[in-house]
Amino acid sequence: MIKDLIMSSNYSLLQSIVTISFVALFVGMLIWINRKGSDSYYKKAQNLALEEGVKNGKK
Amino acid sequence: MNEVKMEKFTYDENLPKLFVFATLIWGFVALLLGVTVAFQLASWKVNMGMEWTTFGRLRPLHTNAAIFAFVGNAMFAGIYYSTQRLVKARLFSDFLGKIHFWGWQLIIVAAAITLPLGISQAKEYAELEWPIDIAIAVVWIIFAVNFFGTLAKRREKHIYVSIWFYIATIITVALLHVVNAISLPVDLMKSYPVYAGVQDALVQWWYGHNAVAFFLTTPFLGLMYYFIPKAVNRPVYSYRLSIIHFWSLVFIYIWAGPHHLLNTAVPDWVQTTGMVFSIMLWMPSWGGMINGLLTLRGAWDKVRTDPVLKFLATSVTFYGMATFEGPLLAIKSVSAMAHYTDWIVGHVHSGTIGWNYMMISGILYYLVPKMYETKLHSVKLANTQFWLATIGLLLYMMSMWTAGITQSLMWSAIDETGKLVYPNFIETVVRIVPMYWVRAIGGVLVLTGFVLMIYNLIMTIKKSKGIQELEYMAPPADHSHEEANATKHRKLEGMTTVFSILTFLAVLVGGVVEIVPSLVSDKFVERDAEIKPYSPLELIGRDIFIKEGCYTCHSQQVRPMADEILRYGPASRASESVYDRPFQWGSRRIGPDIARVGGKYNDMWHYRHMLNPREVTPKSIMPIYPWLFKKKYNLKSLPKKLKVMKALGVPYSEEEIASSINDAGKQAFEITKGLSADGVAMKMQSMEIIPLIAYLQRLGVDGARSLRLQKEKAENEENNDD
Repeated sequence: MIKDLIMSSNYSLLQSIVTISFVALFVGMLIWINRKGSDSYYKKAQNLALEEGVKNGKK
Repeated sequence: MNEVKMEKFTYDENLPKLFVFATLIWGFVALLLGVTVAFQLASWKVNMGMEWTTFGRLRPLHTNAAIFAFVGNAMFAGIYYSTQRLVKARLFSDFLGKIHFWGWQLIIVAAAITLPLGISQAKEYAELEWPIDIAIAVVWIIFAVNFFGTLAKRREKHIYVSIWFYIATIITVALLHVVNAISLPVDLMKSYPVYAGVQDALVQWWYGHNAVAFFLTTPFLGLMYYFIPKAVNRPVYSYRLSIIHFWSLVFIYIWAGPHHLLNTAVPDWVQTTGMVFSIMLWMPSWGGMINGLLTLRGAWDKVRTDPVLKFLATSVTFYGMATFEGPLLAIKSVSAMAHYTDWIVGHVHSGTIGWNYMMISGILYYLVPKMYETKLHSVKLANTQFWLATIGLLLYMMSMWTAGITQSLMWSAIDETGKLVYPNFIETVVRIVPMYWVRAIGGVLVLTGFVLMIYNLIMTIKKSKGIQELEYMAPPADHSHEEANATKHRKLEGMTTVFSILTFLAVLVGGVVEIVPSLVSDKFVERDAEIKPYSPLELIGRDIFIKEGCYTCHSQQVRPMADEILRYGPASRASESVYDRPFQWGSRRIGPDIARVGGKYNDMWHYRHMLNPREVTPKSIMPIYPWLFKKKYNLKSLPKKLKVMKALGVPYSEEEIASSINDAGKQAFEITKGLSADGVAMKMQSMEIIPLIAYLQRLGVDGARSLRLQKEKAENEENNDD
């Protein structure tokens, strides 16, 4: 059945749907990461590499 | 006001240290092997006349050592060091960490023993036989348990972008390895893949390309996002950009595999998809490179003096160059020129040396003094290594560009009468041998630099006045409830499992769309009744071909370009490799394509060629294979081999399996009888050279017959119509 489905599928329509979905997904991601009020959140996140806990001396 | 309760904890420093030592040892081995195979191409005598040291056996060892031993150990060192700090928690299990370390080293040793012995699956970067493949899967699962276990006990709720890249690496490498390695064993050291021909090619290059993507790239992007900010003591330039970088890269990269198969017999739509997605890769790759370089803003003056920054900045720059060149090479018309040439070899090394070697050196120069609480022994030596590696790499890349473009232009040169200007393949080889010397010298410089680093780091460790375990404090992460004002993304990032599943789906979709149709449907891989399975003796010969790593120099795929058709014959069709397990299309033509070599020369030519290639092809750079004339081939395992092939769908009858030993003996007798006219002793019929000749003489014969019959049929129909 899967074989029949693959062989009879209309690929040109599928290609258009996939292309539009991918572009929409990417544009959506761009809009979303620049959403209002996210500045402080990203500022905190980007500093994580510089933290490693408070040093409490030698054990 | 509530006082925040702090928890005390330590980091496991021993495990990253062990992986650092392994990186230094295996890095030296991988580079030494690289230099050795480079000299073997410059002078065939460097093959040393021994079966364990030929190019065909050492080249897979070099690639495996470079990818899995050198880069692999460095990756584990960096991941274990940074993950603990990013989540503010000690490793989930020190014990699992040790099993991971020793298990991985045992796998490398197993590879170092089996590959020179010729025990190989003959699939690039996936040559290791099935028991080692299982060991890799087990050790990888142990790594995953330890990694995700550490995330589960983290004190930092947010998962920093480096860890996203590590998660993508762990999930995708597991997926690629398991799918590509599925095979049916004949015995402990021999198996045949479940895929054949086009299907095997698609799965292998889906794996092969993404081994580059998810073993050499994504983990090192994670390390870049950790170690560059650490080294310059400032945050990553844009965290937003890193999010776009991550999702676009993991989603797009997985689709790009078929660019290794452009102009071959794989379906056109798969080739086009691979090419388009490869070009799309420009965006995320350069987004990442820009993010890495701009993190260095304000610290450029330090790049001049600090070896850590010098290596890291150069590494990211080479990443940019390699990821610009990669999509360019993936354009079908550029690939037509570059594929099978040294241009690709140069491109690969701009990534592995320029990106990985440089990044690893920067990380090691940062890590070792820090972990041993001392200063680097010699900045001067580190700078010397930097210039040796940079000049060595530039020599390497420029010589390979020159060699690749020169040879490709010579291959495709056709005169005004429609004939090849350079019909003898060897003419195109002789012309580029000087470039092989330049490449080898470049490799020596890179290796010398690495030796300096080993010395420098050992001296640094010696300077250490003893290390006491440091204790850290951080507030516990509260996993009992979500933060009241958490955004959707914040919640998603807090859910490691959901995040991992989304990453898995992002990488799965490309593989499924490109590979599954060809696996389940005959629509994309045509059948041809004239293409018959190999005879028992030819099958033995094919296994010898695989054992000797002949695919490292000879392709078996004629592309549909005028010069290739003139030189080799009609373009290869998908139907012609339906019984090829594994497929042997190759990726480089150090020697000519042999897809249609069957019947081109007589048996005696092949006999003399394997004994001394220069006797039949003056100036050939191929090694000699005297052991093929002294070693008897194994007939006993033949029925089992045919049974396994039958189980995989090759139409051998029970009678053929039962009589396989006799049939092989008869064919060997006939071939040797023919050779005896030229003085070859009949006792030679049981030596490995005979099945190898049988196999080589079969290549392309069925395809040629099929084309001839099709032509005759068409002519008859035309005559009848008249």
